[in-house]
Amino acid sequence: MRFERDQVRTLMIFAVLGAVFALGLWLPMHYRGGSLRQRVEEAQRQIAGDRARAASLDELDQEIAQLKAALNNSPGQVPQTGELANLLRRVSNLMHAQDLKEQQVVTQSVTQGQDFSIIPLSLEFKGTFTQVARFVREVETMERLIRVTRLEVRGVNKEPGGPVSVGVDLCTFFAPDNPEDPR
Amino acid sequence: MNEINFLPRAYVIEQMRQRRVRREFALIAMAIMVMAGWFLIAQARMDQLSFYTQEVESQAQVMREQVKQAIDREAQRTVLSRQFRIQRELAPALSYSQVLATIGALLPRSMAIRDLSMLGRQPTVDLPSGGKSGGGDASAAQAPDRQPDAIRITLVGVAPSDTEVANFVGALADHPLFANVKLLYCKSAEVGPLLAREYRIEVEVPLDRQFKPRKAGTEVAHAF
Repeated sequence: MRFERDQVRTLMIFAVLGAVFALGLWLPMHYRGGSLRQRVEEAQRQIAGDRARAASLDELDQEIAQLKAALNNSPGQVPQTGELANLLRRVSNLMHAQDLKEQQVVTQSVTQGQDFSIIPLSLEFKGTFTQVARFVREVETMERLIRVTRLEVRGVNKEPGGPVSVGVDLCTFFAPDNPEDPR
Repeated sequence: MNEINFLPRAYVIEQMRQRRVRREFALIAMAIMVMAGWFLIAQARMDQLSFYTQEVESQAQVMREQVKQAIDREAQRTVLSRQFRIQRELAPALSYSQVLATIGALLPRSMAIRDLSMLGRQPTVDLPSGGKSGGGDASAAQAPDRQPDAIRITLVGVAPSDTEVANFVGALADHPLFANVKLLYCKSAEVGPLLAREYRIEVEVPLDRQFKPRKAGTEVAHAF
């Protein structure tokens, strides 16, 4: 079989066209399509994996709102730091507000715990029983959580209705957000 | 069969070649058109796929943001849960002022309390795993079981007669807030020019009790 020159030329044109088509159009398109499909699969896999966790967002928001409300409604707050100066100022103000005499405040060493730390305080003063009762009530209803652990009331004159000498042990607390770093 | 072809052979061959060349050009043109058509369709599909990919990836991005938010919220919930647990653990079940007010309300007006002692449970901490303490009373922190879950109250006072003391002890014993009411003694004592009965009472307030006031604003001024 013999090919004419124009037939050979046509075959060569077909070959060049085929090569251009394969290398210039089909191959880039094929790679691009493959890459896009891979991205789609990856994104869909990620969506499927994250869907459950993302769906819990509303539930988490509700829980956080409930916890915040519960914390705001609880009787006393536990700060993140000791804030001893502020505490002493508040206690001193309360004692002055009740006009208590011979006030003495002793702070003791902080006991550091895993979750929270305790600041013990000892107070001594003199006043009437009404003043003492009001002072104890004011201390126990402070914004900061304070627990009275000991209350000693002694009549000064051994006469009913007279002034009383009072010793009070208090504990207050602080709980840093990061328990490894108690301040 | 009476047709006679007078055309020269070279002319015929040339005509055949020209027809073949035209067919070949037509074939090439058709092939180019098919390729162009394929390219346009493929490009349109690719654009669709690209658009779809962007959509899915933006959804995935939104989902990633939501997961990040969920992780933040979980951390926040952990902190708040811990704060709530600590506050619940530390908040006293009963306050001393409530107990004082209750004693004052039960105490007959003719009686007086001279000395009062209330001793409750010291709060304890779980020491860190390293056993580190800030110089505080570590022994008290480590021995929580020795202290009772109750407020121990000792009352010393005077009353005009044994009857009032008995009534007061009875009222304390009947009150749901108090337990283990003990009258340690009731003896004669002189209060100024008067003869009275001096008493000493011990009573406990278990910390599992709930305080429910009968009426608000009860004052305790007459206790002393």
